[in-house]
Order: sequence, then C-alpha cells, then structure tokens
Amino acid sequence: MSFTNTGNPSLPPSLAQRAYLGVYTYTNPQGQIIPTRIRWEDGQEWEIDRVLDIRPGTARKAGGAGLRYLLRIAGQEREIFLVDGRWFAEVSLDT
Amino acid sequence: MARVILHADANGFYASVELVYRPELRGLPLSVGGDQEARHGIVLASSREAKRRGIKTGMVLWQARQLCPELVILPPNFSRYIDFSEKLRKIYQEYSPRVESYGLDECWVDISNPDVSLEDGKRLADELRRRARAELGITLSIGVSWNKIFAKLGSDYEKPDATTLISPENYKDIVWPLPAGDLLFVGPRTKPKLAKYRIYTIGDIANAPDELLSQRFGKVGRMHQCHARGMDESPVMAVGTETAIKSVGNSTTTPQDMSTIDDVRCVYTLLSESVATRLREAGLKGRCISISVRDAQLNCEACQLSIDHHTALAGEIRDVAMQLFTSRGYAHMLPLRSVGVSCSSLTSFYAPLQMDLMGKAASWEKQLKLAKSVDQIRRRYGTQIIQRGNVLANPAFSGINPHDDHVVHPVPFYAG
Ligand SMILES: [Mg+2]
Repeated sequence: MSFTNTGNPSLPPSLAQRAYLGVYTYTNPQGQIIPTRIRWEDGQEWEIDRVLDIRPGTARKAGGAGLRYLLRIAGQEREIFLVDGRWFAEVSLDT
Repeated sequence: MARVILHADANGFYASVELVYRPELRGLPLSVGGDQEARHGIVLASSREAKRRGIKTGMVLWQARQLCPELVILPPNFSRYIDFSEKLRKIYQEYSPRVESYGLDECWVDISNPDVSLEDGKRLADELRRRARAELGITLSIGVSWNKIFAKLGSDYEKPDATTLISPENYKDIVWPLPAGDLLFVGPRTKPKLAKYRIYTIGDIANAPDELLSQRFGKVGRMHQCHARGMDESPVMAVGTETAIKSVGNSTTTPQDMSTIDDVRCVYTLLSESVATRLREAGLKGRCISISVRDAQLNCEACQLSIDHHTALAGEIRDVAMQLFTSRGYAHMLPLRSVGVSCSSLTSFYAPLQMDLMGKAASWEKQLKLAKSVDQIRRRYGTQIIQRGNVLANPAFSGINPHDDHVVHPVPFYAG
C-alpha cells in the first residue's frame, strides 16, 4: 500500500514485508476457501500437506486484517494470510 | 423482562484501523486527517499517544503538528473504515439481530432474553472485545446495562479495551457522580441552566424535586430525570447494515406534534445541521438525501433523491429534504410525530469537487468555509449559539438540539 507522507517525521521501518503468493484453491461445500498448493515469488511451487487452522486474524508484522491460515508445508508449519483478496506470507526484514 | 443492552465503541477507530495495516507505527503519536495538501485538513481520529499529547479531533493539522512535531499524520481511508465497521457489525450480529449503529464505530446490541442476565451481558462484552482484538486487531470499550443511556455511559467510562457493567445495584455509585453534561441529551446549553439550580451531576438531576425540572425545563426536563434514574425505554432498532454504515442520519420525535409545514421545516433545519456537522466530523460528504416521516397514527413514509454533487452543507440537505417533503405530498400526513433525514452515497470530504461550472464550485467551497467556521464557533460555544432564522422563529422546536443531544434513534429508513 502506498500513501503520501509529506512532512511526516522520519518513520520507523516496517517490521516485515509481505511476500505475495500465487495460491491454488479449492472451495469446500461450506464456502471456505482451502489452499491446496502455493507458488512462491521465485516460481517454486509447494504442495500443502495440511490446513491446520483457518480463522479471521491479523498479520501482526506485515499488517492487514483478513483470514489467517495455518498450514503444514513440507513438514513445517507456516502462516499465510488472505487480506483484501491477495495471499501473502510475512517475511521478516532482519534475516 | 429486564433488558440487557451493550454499547460498543471502537477506540480511536480510524487511527486503530490504520495501525492494523502499519503495525510498525504502534506506540507513536498518530492522527488520521485530511490531505496535507488540503489547507483546511483537520484531525479526524488519533492514537492514544497523540491524545496524550493534547491532539484533539477537529484540530487543524498545522496546529496539531505545532503541538506535537513528531506527530505522524496519515490520510483517511474511508473504504477501509467502512469495511472494518461492517466486520464489527457482523460479529455483533452473530449474537443478536438487534444491532443499531451510531456512526461507523459505535453500536448498541440488545441481547435481551428471559435467560440472559446482565452478568451474561458482561461475559459477552468480554468475548466481543477478545474477538475484535484477535480478528480485527482493534480494541473496544463496552458498556453493559439495562437501558441504552447507561450502556452508552458505560462505554465512555473506561477506555481502551474495557467492559463497564452498570447494574441496578451499582448505577448510583458509577453514574450519579458523573457531570450532568455526560448524560445523553444534556447539551452544553442545558448545563449552565442546570448549574443555576445547583445541579452539577447526573445524581443531582436524578434527585432534584420532580416539579423543579418539569417546571423549569418542561417535557425535556422530565426526560433528563427519567434518564438519570435509569428509566429509559427506547428500543434498540435493527437498523440495516447497509443503511447504518453507508449513511449519516438523524431522526427525532418532537415533544409536540408538528402541525404545519413551518414546524416541519424547523425540525428538518435542526436535523440537517446535525447531519452536516456529523458528516464533516467524520470527513464525509454525501449525494443521496433520504427523508422519513411518521404521523400520529404511526404511519410511516420514506423517500430519497440523489443530487448532482456530494454535499456536507446543512442548507442544501434541508432544502432537498423539504423539496422531497412537498413534492411527495407528505403535507397531507400532518400532524406528524417524528421526521428523519439522512445522507448516503458517501465519499471522502476531500475528494475533488466535480464541477460543471467553475463559478458554482467556487461558491460551494465558499459556503463550505462558512459552514466550517460555524462549526468551530459551535464547538467553542455550543450548538445553539448560531441558529438559522426559521428555527429562532419557532421557540417551541428550537429546544431540540439534535447534534449535542446525540439523538439516540438514528435512521430507520426504508429504501425507495
Ligand atoms: Mg469511538
């Protein structure tokens, strides 16, 4: 999101960046959107082993409120978010 | 059956929503305000840190910056606030269909049920606060009581992120020591009048001799006293989400029925002033004007009209309301018990003016400036210091003060 900040004092840096994802999804009969496979920024694709949790939530570092998905991908737990129609993962800037 | 009513108020709403999207700014003094480019930009909402530095809603941006040089100012993002407002309402509506919005960030929720106690209301309030935090990242202050007036007082009592229960057992301890002006409907003009009779607190109002208030303040005095004693029966209206969130409106029931077109014009003038002020305070202007009327037999009619530009001017809103009123033949419904007006198809106050004629837009901007300075004078001296001619002409109705009184029954408007 871009915004004009003319005249504002120097602002602290973002806590994390959004890494936007391509996501293959399946809509279940209850109307929930279930991700099945994600495509990382570099074009690599990963199968989602399991959707562990879906609930409304916020991305506390990259910012935004929408749906928070807890997934297991390649044996690891990973959070991704669906906010304003786009999927993303939080990527810390200090690493 | 005793009622259980919640009033939920989102703390520093616009600023809190911005912080959800800009978490790195948490802890800094932050305000949401009109474009820096727009010379008359004002503060619309502030974070706690900004409030602590003395930043107030309505303050001009350059003044705010003078007061707090490190203030972060973000431009408003209304579509996002409306989205959050709708999400909040959806949460409330999971627990009750009776949800009444007042502006984007306040709602009454009536969860009355034979099995539901005030204590249950408090538990639900805590749950709503938890969900707002977890799902939306914002905090709520919630008042729980058996009537709307005390529920609203409760949501103002402790901030942020707190529940205040006002029960028949504790209301004398919590409500009665509060200043009289905290009671809904007691405007800044009424306060000094009450002070003349040594009435300073809500408890003083409650305990004044019945005759004193009725004699000195008429029906309105009686109403204040009832409210101070927790005797408020006004219902929580199931106002449609769309309507409540996408419009700013006010309606009022007059102490005496309106029997002439002049009476109606008088009340529409007051209501339009209040709607216009609330629009400007929220940084909004609207294009569609709706009116509703209700006669003594409680027959209702409503209609609406879209004009060719967005407005936040009381005069324009009133004129369209009156035009609708006469062209629809509502005069045949006189005498009337209540009327309402609301403004929808909202856009940001700072959206560029669409102008077909340079001259027209310029004069509109001039009017806007005038309207704003009137607002400023009112903020300083109270709403009734400046009144339009026709309101003064009718003292019977000018006692109604829709803006300061924070009319509690907004917009039961029906589309079409
Ligand atoms: Mg609020």
